[in-house]
Amino acid sequence: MTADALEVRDLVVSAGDHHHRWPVVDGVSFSVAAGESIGIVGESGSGKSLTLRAIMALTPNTIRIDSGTVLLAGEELPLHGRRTRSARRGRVALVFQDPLSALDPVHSAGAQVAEIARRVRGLPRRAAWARAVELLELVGIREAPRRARDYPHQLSGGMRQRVMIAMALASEPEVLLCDEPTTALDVTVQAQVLDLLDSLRASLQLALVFVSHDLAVVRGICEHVAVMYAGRFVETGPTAALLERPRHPYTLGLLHAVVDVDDAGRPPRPIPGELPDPAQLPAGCPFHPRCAYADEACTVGPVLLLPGSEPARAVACVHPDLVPPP
Amino acid sequence: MSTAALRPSTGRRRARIRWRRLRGSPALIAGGTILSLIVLAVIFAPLIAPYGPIHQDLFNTLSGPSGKHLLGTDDLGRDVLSRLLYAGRTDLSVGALAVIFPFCFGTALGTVAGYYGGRTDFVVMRIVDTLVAFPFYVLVIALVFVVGPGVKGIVIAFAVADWVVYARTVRSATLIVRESEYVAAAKVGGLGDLRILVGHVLPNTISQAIVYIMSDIVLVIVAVVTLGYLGLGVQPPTADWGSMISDGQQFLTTHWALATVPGIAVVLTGLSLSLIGDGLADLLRPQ
Amino acid sequence: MSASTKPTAPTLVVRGLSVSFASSRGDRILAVDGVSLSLQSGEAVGLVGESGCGKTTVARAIAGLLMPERGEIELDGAALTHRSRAERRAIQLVFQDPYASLNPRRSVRSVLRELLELHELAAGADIERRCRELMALVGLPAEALDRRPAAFSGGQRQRVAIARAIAVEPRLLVADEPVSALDVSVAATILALFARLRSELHLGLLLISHNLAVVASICDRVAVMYLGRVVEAGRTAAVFDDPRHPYTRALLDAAPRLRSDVSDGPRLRGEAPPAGARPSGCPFHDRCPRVEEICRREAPALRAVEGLSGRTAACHFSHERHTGERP
Repeated sequence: MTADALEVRDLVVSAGDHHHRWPVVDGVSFSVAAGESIGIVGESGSGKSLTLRAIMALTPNTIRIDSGTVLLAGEELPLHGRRTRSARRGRVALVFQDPLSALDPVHSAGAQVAEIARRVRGLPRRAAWARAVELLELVGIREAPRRARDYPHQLSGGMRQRVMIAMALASEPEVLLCDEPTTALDVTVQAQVLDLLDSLRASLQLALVFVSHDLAVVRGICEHVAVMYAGRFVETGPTAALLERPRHPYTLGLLHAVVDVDDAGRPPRPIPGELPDPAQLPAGCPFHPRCAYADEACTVGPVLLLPGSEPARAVACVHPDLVPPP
Repeated sequence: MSTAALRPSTGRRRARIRWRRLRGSPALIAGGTILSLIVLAVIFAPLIAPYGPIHQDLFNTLSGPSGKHLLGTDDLGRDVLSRLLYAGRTDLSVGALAVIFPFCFGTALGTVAGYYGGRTDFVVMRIVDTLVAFPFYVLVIALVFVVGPGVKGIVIAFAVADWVVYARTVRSATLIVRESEYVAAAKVGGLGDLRILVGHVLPNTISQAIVYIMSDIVLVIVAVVTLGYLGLGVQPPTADWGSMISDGQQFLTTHWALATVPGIAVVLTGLSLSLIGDGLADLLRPQ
Repeated sequence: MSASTKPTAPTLVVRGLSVSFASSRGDRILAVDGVSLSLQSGEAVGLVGESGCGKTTVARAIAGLLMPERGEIELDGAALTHRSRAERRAIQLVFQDPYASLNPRRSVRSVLRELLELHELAAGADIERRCRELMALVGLPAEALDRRPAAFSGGQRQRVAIARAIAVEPRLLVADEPVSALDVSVAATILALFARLRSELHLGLLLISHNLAVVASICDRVAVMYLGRVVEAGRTAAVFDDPRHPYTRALLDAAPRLRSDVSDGPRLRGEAPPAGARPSGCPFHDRCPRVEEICRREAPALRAVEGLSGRTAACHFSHERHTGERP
């Protein structure tokens, strides 16, 4: 059996300074096979973006990858040191959230895509430009040869995001990490970009990791989902099944709090309490202060992510059976 | 409905945070300390100085440091230390006085120009452009010459020449703040322009101007000293560092302390003000 | 607050509102082109559309931050032109970015106090009491009064902004993307707060959002905007169930859903043109799957939909159900 395209084991990432550090990603593990997609859903402070950054070894200075393993097709990737960049080049790519700030304003769209093709795939100048135009066409930019000469400020938000995706594809990766790639886009444009990512996943057999705060978006594009809270996965499983019958109180709370187009006239039901401060997490289950089903047992940690009764599902809860249907 | 818990912050914790920020700014501490010492010394000059600033001991002219005169005497027998302290009074007070008008006038004009834009902005900026075209010292010297040397001349010269920097700085900051949503909210709330300018715009635009005051005082003091050196500043026999330097110049090879000691005083004052300016810039940045 | 008898006439009436801006090239761009809507007190109306449709401009014009070029805005039948202080009280605005909408240098108390004193809503000891009441209304502890915005999270800041808005006892609250910048669970608390304030204070609510789901959850009626015009309006559940404008259909098809799979229907291609390049005839005709010759020539007016009460749509084919496919 071939190894998964991407496997992450027990990733621990911390933030803070010399006096005081705290985990912001606390023992996260998952794997994605080629052509498959997994969504990581969470709110601010859940650690979802940092998880992707850690996989790319692209964390800011105050963030430190403490431990964990990242494997690409079975081969371990370094998480520190000088070889991190070269080890990932051409194998893992990241699509950022805000294309306006992620694109260089002084280079044309085509030039930015071509540069990647040149540096990562070693194509000579002419061939790199041709490849750039080809990729821009692939991501759905019409009149690609002309638009390749446009600068980012001349392009609309949706087009900029497509250029970012083309840049990611230019390195011909096996794994594509997406950090809220459609959050800044209008809904019709979002739909187009999600369709594009889905078809690329299928046609290029990419392993897709999709981070989002939006459960409904993840449902549309990811077969599997992991719900993240306070740095850890609280529930994982096939998306449709998990959303239909969640086993973790936070997932249930999210489903009640989320607004959906099909729910006209139903005001959202807030989750009591507040998102926890990663520097000061409660003991035991981090969700217990807000949980309707919590008791003494929930204050004693750690609460591990364990396989549930249904296939391919896992939940980190002391009382998963108490969670009613949504 | 559950009330949201705030990040805990009792009064003590807030004071501690502020103290930690102050402590974290060595520039502010160093500058503040030096300046405080200088200011205290000149305030208490009448008490500390062993002699009056114009008291002459004609039998002891040009004497080096001794028990009676810690820093020696000048060519007219006046005690250097006493003169230094009294001169400090003159220079620091003129320095502070000379920046008040430019600060107030420049800030007000910059705020109005930035907030209302259009023709007002155009007129104000053209005036600024004109004044900026003159080299600063040329303008100041010319004005002092016209008005007459002395404290009055200095204050008027700076009032005319120095306000432009404040106007420009505050105008740029105002252009940004004017578009902010809290200003829009204030308008929607029914607040009139004056209340908005004073209560919402100024508190957010003035910090750069305040930091600049520190540099400006240094500039003024140096200018007063320069003018004094040129004979256009504070008139004798009033003590002032500039004239002390100028008078002591002829004795540089023999009694170098006469010119250099007041020079060091100017440098220290300027340094401390710059440090305070740096520290303030960090502190005033909104958290 | 005094209990008010329910007025039958609408609180807010906007008629033919048009707003234009000077473009960088020197000509004027029509951002809002003849928008009309109405709102009863205690009612929540949603204004949806994508970026560039002009909904924020409509919000700002209604709140009195912009002068319209044409059209009327009426509050309780009286036209609002140059607003007096008392007139400004009636319509308040809550902004999108909670990190930019509060003055970083003012404490909550000082901002509320300023408003209460300005409009003479309280004096002396009453001011403090009223400030505490406002904090309780939005679900913040009384200690929040002493703090500056930096001490608050996004959701808390938004509550402060809402407290500021209701401090002057407005008739109508205009909320411009009030939850777009917030986490899901935090957004839920703010939306629930809006719903509560609406019923407790009998406030009218005009909710601007690009997110159909947000509007679906708390708005009784909805108006859909495209390129500066209202293309469809009606009761929310009815419009979302049976849209009569192809753009509304496209929005609904594109919206991700929790409980059903993504629609397989044809996607709307491309993006909306900039306001300066509005197509002739119907502004949507260049992207519309239902387009015919008449659409290119003649811009459809916002008319009542045949056979459905309380519904309007600006489409030559509003009598048909739009499925998003070509007929």
